[in-house]
Amino acid sequence: MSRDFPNDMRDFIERLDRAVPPHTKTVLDDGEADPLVDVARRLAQGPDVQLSAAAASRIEARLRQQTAALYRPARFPPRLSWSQPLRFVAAALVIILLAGVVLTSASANSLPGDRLYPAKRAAEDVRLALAPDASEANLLVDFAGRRIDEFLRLMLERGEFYPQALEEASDELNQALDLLAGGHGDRVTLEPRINTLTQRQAQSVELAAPLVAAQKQQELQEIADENKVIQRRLTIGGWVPLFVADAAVIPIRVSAPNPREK
Amino acid sequence: MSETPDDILIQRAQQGDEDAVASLYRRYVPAITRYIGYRISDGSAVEDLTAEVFFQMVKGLPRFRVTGAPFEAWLYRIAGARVADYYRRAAREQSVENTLDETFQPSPELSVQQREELDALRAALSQLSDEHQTILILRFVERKSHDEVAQILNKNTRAVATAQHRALKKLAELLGTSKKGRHYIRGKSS
Repeated sequence: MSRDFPNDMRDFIERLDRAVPPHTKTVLDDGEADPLVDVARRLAQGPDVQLSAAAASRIEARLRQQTAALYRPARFPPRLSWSQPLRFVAAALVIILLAGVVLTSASANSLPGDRLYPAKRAAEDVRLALAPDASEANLLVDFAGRRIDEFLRLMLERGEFYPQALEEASDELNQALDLLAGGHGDRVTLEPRINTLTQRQAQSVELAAPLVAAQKQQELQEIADENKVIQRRLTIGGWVPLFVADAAVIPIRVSAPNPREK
Repeated sequence: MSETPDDILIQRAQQGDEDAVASLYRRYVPAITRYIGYRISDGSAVEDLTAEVFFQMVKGLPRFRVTGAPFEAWLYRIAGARVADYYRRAAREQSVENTLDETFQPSPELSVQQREELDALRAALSQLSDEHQTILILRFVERKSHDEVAQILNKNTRAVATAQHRALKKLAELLGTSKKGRHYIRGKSS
């Protein structure tokens, strides 16, 4: 009992403890006149309330049933032995997928020569391989745009001349046109985009021409010639022209090969 | 032969040992029944609520952690909540007042005088707060020390003693306990 209690409180509790000692059922001291002690004694001497033996047994039986039901082993058959490795493989795939997503986003701005650039290209290859025929042309146009951007960034930000990027852009635009000519993809949407990209490509060549050495000019010229072929193809519905520079262009129809079959 | 400690029984019960569950039930069912029986007059409800407390115990045992607090503290908390639920439900149905004295069937061995005394005590107790009722029942009906009551209620001893003093004072007023005799607030007298 705390010593901080006021004296009257301590006295009262001591009188109660004398009248109603804890853990005892002994005869209570009847000499107190304090009404509080009296009411405490009435409570202590109050009638006992208990369940009947039948009710107590009934509850106990239900408790046993409940316990048995709660802890009974599950009724479904044990897991098959191959489920564990399957879960492991699934977990590994999820990890690889997540790692791929992280790597792809990290490599999005990489340029040729960067450590993450191969990851960027690998991701593009995967997307291309998984894309349905109708979306393939669209992806190729997207990737061609990236190649032109990469060429410009390398030249303007790092002072590097990397004509392969423009060559690859031409290849991708040609593949996209092949698919469109074969009826795969949305011509109405893609042809204007291809047109815009060929113009950007031509501007890039013009921009690079005064900056590169004479021996590189030939490469630029080849890119410019290919650019004209693509522009010409746009005007004749994806057909491949025999000659571009001359007025007498005789278009021939190609059987739009599927890039996947290469 | 000494009783198996609560901790051991709890551990066994948590592993699905029906005998351990039954032992815990038999150990605490008298006190829990008294606690509910001093707060609710409907005999069938006392049985139902007592059963509910122990069903809840079985359901909650897997998550129960031995922290040093007495096991019965948990049971009293469940019982207190069940009693509160009972009165909330009864208040909605507005039927409890009409059935207080008519339906109560306590232990058949109680005499008429004992039943009247129980009715009077219960009626007076019901005018107190839940915490005051619990303190008085634990302290005087269950004969627990101040420290034990404090431990069960997770309060300090001084707070319990102070609350007990107030509760007794109020109960004495309600019961009209004095040297001149007693009168009961529900119109019954011995």
